[in-house]
Amino acid sequence: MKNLIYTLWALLFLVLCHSAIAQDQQGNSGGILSGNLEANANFFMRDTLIGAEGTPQYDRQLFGGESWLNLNYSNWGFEFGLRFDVYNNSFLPNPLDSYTDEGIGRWFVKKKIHKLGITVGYIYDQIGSGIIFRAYEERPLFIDNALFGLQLTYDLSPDWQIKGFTGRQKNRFDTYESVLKGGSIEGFISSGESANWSMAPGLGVVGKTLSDGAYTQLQNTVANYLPQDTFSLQYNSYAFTLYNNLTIGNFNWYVEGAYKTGDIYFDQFATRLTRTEGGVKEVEGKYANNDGSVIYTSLSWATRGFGASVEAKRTENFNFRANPFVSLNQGFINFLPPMTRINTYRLTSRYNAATQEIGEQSIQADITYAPTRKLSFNVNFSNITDLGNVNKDQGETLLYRELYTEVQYKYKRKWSLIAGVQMQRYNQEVFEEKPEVPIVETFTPYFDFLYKIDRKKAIRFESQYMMIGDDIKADSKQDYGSWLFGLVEFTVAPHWTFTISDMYNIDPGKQSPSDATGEKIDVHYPRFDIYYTNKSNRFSLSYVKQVEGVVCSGGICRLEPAFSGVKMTVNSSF
Amino acid sequence: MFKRILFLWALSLSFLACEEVIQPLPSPQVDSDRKVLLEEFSGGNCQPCADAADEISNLLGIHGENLIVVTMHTYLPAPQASPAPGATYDFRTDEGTEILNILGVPFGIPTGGVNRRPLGINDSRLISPFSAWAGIISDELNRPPLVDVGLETTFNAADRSLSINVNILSNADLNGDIRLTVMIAENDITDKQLTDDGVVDFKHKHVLRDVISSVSGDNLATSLSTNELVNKTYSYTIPTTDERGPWVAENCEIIAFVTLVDDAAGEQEVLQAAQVKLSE
Repeated sequence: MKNLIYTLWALLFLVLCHSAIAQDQQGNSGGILSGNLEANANFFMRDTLIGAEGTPQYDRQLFGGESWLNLNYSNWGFEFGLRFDVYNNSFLPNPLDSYTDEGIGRWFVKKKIHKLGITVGYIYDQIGSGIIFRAYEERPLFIDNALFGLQLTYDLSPDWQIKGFTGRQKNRFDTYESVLKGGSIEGFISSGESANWSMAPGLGVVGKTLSDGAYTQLQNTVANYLPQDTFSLQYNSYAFTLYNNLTIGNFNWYVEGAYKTGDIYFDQFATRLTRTEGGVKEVEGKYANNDGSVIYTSLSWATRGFGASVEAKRTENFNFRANPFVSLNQGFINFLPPMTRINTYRLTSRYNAATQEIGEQSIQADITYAPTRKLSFNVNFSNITDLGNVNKDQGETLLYRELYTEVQYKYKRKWSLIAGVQMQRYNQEVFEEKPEVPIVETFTPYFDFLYKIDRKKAIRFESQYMMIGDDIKADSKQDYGSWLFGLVEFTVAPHWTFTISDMYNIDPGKQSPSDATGEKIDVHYPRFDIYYTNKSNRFSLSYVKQVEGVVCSGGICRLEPAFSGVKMTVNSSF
Repeated sequence: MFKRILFLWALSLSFLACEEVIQPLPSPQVDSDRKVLLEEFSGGNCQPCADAADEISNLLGIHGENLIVVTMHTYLPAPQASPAPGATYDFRTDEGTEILNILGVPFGIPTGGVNRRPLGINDSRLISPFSAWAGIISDELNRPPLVDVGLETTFNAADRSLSINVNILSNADLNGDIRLTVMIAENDITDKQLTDDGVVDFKHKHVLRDVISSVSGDNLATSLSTNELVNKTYSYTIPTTDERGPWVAENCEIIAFVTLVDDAAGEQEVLQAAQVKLSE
């Protein structure tokens, strides 16, 4: 059956392409065929010292990879899309396991008939900022939440559009059984071409109907709870959102409020009583049936040489998934925007605050000041706490705090320097579910120096030193201890880039590897990369040693294991 | 324009048009001849595994002898699978690791298999989170057993010799690779475990000590007719101690279960299980 579907799709595309070529030869083609390819190959080289071992890839398979070939064709007012996905011994879904499968990862057909837009197949879309609904793809995280179904849009006027959709959410090469349906109205209002203000308001609704299987399983699960923890269950839950983007001159203000009716989800912080041999005991983690809310706002102002923005978000019980039994990054119907700076340097991006669905309140401020074209300053501050749900008897708990500063100086077109300091407080106990660990404290100065040797050649130096606080209980440095990172990158434009770097565990901590005597070892994690770019093709070849990390969610811990081996990638678009 | 928007918004409210009929919760206790096997995979350095142990006590309190549990510590390459810091014993066994490999590779621990059936997300035979076990166990209890398993043991405390007699009576005509697995597990071993309160002394239960049959099960038959009886006996000597610490015979329990295996498809399911405590 699977082969038949592949064959039919391939034939359809061949027919379409052949038709396009034939028309082109007659000089009357309106068709456009475009696409892109992404391919990753990993060669695994066991390294017992850093823990790169014990998975099928290290033990016997030695190779793993993924690729996605995306084809789009438009003609006759239609758009057709087809994506072929291949996973061979891939560690993307589960870093401890090996996943092999291939097939049509996405197809769609789109047509606009006057004011009516029709899309069928696998659809990527969102309502507002995605708080109640976002169907999207994030390949490195193995997230592909496309909605498999039908979407209709109708243009009420040039500035107003209504949208409705129904379908089921993609789950690998299958779908979840729960049915989704939803809709939105979005528009644009301004007082005319000469006015300095405009608004883009919208409202949306999404409904989820649980499958019979999931409902029955939930019923049987909750029936096993003691009477005081049980609750009645419903098949349907709804989420509503109201949002607006207001622009007045240099000001921009986005605000969105969302509400979710009673929905069954797993709350890892909630407690319930269980039967034990001696009576009853309170344990953490239970299914709950609560309504939820999110309010998110972002205010920004920019003028010549100065820009400032403030964001705030409050989340309560907004875990919204296609199946209440999935965890980690599976089955998300929605997307809660993160409230921290997206860092890119190796060490400043080591500790990240995952969005908390159960309870979170956060604020972020960012100021950029450029007194001259050569010099600019940036300061970013973010602070995230819970809603008192983590430690119920201690009130709000700090989850994450970051202060990031950056100074950038450009000297003519010869060299530029970026330097600054980052300070973090990271609640490892909550984000990674590691009990009895202190809040990780980091202080990381960094610099990035780029020197242009001539018109084609450039060399870049980058370094960060992450100082980590003490774990007094463990009588050692927190987590993996302190790190020193250095990188040299040599570029020969327009084709070649060579990179050599090392992440050195200069002052090992509690989690660092030990030798036979139990002494902590200061391990080096080197990396070498070669990148070659030719027109729209890009190739990379890398030798990588990467430190391990642990990510936990919903009572399940997931290891992001250490990596040791060679990586190759190919990216191409046409 | 306003009218159009109002109409469309009213249309969207039709989502909420009907009120749903709320169904009552079923009784958790199921009157069944079925004995469900829960194979739990745990670790000393895994804090949620302590919560999973509490959940197992809770489920045993509800289902009693209808639920049979064996807890395996394995050499899964994850730090949670290791013994807790300061532990006296290492409960990890090659046999447990082999069984985990039969069932699949988990995202992490705790996880568990219920009757080795593909009842988890994406047809996985490993079910996580542990809060999902309860519903699946209740479902399985409603499936009548295709075989009955009678299990008797004779234990000689003087020389610690154990004789195990297993009778399998088929309740239906069965075809395929039918196997019998026999295990020994031990209760109430006190050792370190990572919990919400840090590393504490913890009473470990249902800990797999050894697999007395072959790990993948001893071949029983390739077909069984309704009411056909098959008998298997095993002899075993319970060690006084080994590298995993002393064995307290009166805390040990014997578990036997029959599986229908399709090696080519990589599938199998437990048809029925039985358990006997040596102290009984």
